[in-house]
Amino acid sequence: MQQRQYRIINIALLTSFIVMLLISAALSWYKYIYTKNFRFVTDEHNIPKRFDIKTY
Amino acid sequence: MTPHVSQLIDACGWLPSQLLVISGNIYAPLLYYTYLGCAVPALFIAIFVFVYQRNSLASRLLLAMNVTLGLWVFGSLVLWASEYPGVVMFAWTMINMIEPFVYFFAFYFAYVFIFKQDLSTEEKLLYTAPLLPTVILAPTPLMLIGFNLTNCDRNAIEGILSIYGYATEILYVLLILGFAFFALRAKIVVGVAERRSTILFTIGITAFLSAFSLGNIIELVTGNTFIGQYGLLGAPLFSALLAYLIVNYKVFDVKLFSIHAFITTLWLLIFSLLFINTLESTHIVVLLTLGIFSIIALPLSRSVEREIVGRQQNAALASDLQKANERLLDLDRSKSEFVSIASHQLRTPLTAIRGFAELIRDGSYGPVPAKFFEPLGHIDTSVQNMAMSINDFLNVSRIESGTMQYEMGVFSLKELARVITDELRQYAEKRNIALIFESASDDDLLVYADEGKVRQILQNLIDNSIKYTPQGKVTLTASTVGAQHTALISIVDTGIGMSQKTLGIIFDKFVRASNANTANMYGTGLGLYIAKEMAEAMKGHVRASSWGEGHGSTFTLELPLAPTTPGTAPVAPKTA
Repeated sequence: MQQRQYRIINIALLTSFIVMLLISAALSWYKYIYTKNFRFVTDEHNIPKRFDIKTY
Repeated sequence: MTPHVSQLIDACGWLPSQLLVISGNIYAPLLYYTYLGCAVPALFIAIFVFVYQRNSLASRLLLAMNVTLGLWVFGSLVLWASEYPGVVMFAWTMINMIEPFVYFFAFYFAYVFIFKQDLSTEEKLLYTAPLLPTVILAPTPLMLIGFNLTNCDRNAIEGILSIYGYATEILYVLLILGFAFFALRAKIVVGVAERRSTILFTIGITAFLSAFSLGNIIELVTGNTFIGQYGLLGAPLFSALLAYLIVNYKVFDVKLFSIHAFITTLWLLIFSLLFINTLESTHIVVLLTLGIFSIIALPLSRSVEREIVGRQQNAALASDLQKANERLLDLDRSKSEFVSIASHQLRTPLTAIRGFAELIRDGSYGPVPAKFFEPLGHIDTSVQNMAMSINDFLNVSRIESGTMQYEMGVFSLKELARVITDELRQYAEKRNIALIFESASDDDLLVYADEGKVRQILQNLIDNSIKYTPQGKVTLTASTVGAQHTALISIVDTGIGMSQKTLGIIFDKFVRASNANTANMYGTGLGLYIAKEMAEAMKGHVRASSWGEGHGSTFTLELPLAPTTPGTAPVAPKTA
């Protein structure tokens, strides 16, 4: 019985971690790839050389 | 995306990637493709270990560690190659989320490897808890603040959660080191090979993980993303170390794997001939060969398996035996200490008993009736016997613990033997035994030894001879042997003698002659053992011989003569 309980706890722990990882991965995918809802950062004092300054 | 951002991205002119990982955007292609060289062998080792030890927790964890490492590498490759900021951000989040898991599995694997047991449920919850924040909060800006467009570098700017992730990684490395140190210090890991493999394993896994972490930390502090990428080079080093452990210390069943790989390869080779050669007649030969090979391969594989099982059982037995041996040595030391303390405690009241009995007999407490003298005499004899036994126990415990002290000096062995003979003559005559001293040498027989200990040895040997001689005589002879380099005292009695069997064990502890009980003699069976140990500590010998039961015995004490040449240093005493 103890061995069975031990197995159940192990499986529950592993499953919950996998589920959490999958949810986080799905949310990240939604945020970064699907909606592209994140900030862009530039350093204005170090303007990239390849930029056309007029389009900036 | 605001229009100017998309313009900025266009202005960077990133090249399109193919199959997520092939791209012209990579600025260090050699390092980039080295990643595959790192992750793939590590993954292969983990898979083969897992396939051949599916039920072993260690092999499952090694696989979990290397699979997470593989995922990390894949995410890293995507991140380097992609021209889309969204994909870069996603891959960056994924690798930051997965990275602490590599460390966790490495720690878990190390724990099982070192302690050969699983973590308890509580420990599992405790050690996985630090992973939760990075998993739950991964999609939030706490992990990645934004995408850095400066210099078209395609970097993500990491938030506080990423730094927290690196901290958990350091924590797992410290836990591995701590547990390994504890296991070695507390002697949980015993056996030279096991300890060495634990040390090597710990160094390997820590070096790999530290290289990995150090890269991230350097990246965080200096902002140089390039240096950080070298951290993964630790992976093949660790894989190489694992391979070394597998081959040298037989940590995993590599033989079984090799034989199975060999059989499978040969089988596939023969099988492929069916498709290469279209002649039907050759097909029959190939099928026949395949059938015969399959029949031969099976017992071959089984015999290797049996050999492995046998080897494992032997190793387990050897380990148990070593543990039992160490426990026995501990017990023996404890026993000697106990005997020493107990003997000291017993000696003190004994002195009081003897002293007061003496005072009563002498009339110090008033006149003593004549009938009291006999019981008082018995008290005195018993106390003397008991004191002798206690002295024997004390001497044995000193000899065994190596604390017996020898005060070495030069003295005449012949003179000492003569004096002792005179002292014991009365005691012998009371038993109707003639105690005779003879000298076969004109020399004084000067020896370099501890006089007190030699006296004790001689008294013991003479006393033994008197006790085991119901009637007749005991003769002491002093002489030299071995080209005059050794002084010899022989004690010849006409007593009960000894059988060959008894002679073989007479110098062992607690051994008495088989006919000693019939002679009704008091003794602990320690005297001869002590005499022999003491003589040997002074570079001498005590030997015994007999013509058989009823034909008397001869005991001899040999001691090296003191050097007579001026300036020759005496031989240094040997402690027991």
